[in-house]
Amino acid sequence: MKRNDWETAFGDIPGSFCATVGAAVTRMQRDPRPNPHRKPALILAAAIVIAASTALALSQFGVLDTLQDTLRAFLQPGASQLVQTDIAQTARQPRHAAFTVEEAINDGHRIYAVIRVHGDGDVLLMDENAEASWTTDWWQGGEDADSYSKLAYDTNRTLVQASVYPVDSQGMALTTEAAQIHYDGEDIIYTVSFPAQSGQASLQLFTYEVYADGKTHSQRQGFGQLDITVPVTDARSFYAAETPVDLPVGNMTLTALTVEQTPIATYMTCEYEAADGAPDLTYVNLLDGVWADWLDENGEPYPEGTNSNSLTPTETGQTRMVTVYRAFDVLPDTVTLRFHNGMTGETFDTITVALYPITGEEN
Amino acid sequence: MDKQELGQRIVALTGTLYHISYSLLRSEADREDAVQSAIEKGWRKAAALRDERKLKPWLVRILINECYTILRRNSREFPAEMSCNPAAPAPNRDSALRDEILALPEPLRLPIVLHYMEGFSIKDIASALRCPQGTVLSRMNRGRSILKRNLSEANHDEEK
Repeated sequence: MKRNDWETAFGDIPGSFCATVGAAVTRMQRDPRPNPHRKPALILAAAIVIAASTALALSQFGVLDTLQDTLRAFLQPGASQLVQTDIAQTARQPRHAAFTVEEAINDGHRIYAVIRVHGDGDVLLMDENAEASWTTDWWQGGEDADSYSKLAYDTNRTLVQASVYPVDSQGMALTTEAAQIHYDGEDIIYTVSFPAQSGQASLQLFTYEVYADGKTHSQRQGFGQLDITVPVTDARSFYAAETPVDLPVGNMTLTALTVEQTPIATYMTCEYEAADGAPDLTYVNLLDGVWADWLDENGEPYPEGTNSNSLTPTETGQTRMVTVYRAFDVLPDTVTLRFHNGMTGETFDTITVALYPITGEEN
Repeated sequence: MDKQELGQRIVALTGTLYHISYSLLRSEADREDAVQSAIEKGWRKAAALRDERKLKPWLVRILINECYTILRRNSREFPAEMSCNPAAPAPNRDSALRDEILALPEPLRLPIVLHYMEGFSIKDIASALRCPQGTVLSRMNRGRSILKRNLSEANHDEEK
């Protein structure tokens, strides 16, 4: 067997895979939330502050105020009071642990939820990112604690990894964002964000035994499900731009542009299609991917990027691109779009349109 | 290691990440999900990496975990119980070696891919797979034997 045979056995790396790697790296380089690596003195100071404020926070504001690094970090200013703490939920709990949704908010596009995982008495939980050999304070950059496996062994408990997956109505897993992990004592607090179109959502729960004792690798597992109801918040405002707008360089037309501001983010939906009389190449490019970037005030695409996109047929059977973008910034007065071919880098039109308020019914 | 350097070093591992995910996951979308999650988690865990020279096996370990997570999510079974479930080959690629690699049981497949495709040492494979070096060696021996036998049979069939 030649060395080259091995190197080429899986064929060329697809461009989409390379793009995924590049995009993930770029996104993490831009991520404004660094992995906290606190010094012991700061941890102690923070613990004192948290302890002092816990009673007040729990009595007046619910858990949110003690977990302000999680859910609150994703909300627009002043929206924290919209977070719901009395979440209707039915649970089929898995082996090893009990899950509850403590807080959630649904802006009609996404649900953000804070989920507590509490282990059974003979169980030591570790989060879905952890390894058994890691220290139990790895998540805050610590190196001083025992490893999960040592702690489980010393206390004669089963070490269990617990994960949470949002699923759609068909039971297919949804892609989560902003999955953050904190510990409250030995409980795990997951903060997850996932797509939501209605007030109903389901979370599947997975537990997996890492070590049942010091010798055997048992691999027993458990599944459960939480069905929750989180009504869509009313605190949304809607805007639109005058359309149609000609895009002469790309031979296209912007047919609709609406903006929705929610407590979590600003969502911009734009629709564009080939202009009347456009050459065939425009139609081909649309099918192949003519993308639009939503630019911030510095001319850079918002890092939160595209929320969803789809090709839909027009009334005449042509193709219309419908893309929903998201930005965590507050709403600007205008929207700037740059149209381009994502594969070739060819840039078409860059336009700026003004927004005016509309009612939810007009949207 | 600053953000820029970490990013460059991760991008330089694209081929490795692809080969690992290809050997474990059927769909291109799942591979992209896995590598995206692995990079995000790896990035956030970068402070836990005490020896920067170990970035490659460390990130591979995280990617393998992500692939297992997706397998569990998709199949509701732990991958050790679905060890003869090869990834689907990419369309329009005719590679007997690829097909035979993917047909290997998963515990034998990963050491083979890591060693022969990625040049991992036995020690690094043991570290990435969290198993003793002796186990890696025995799995590679078994994997090589199966590959050799099946490829010989395939060649023999072609010659007939």
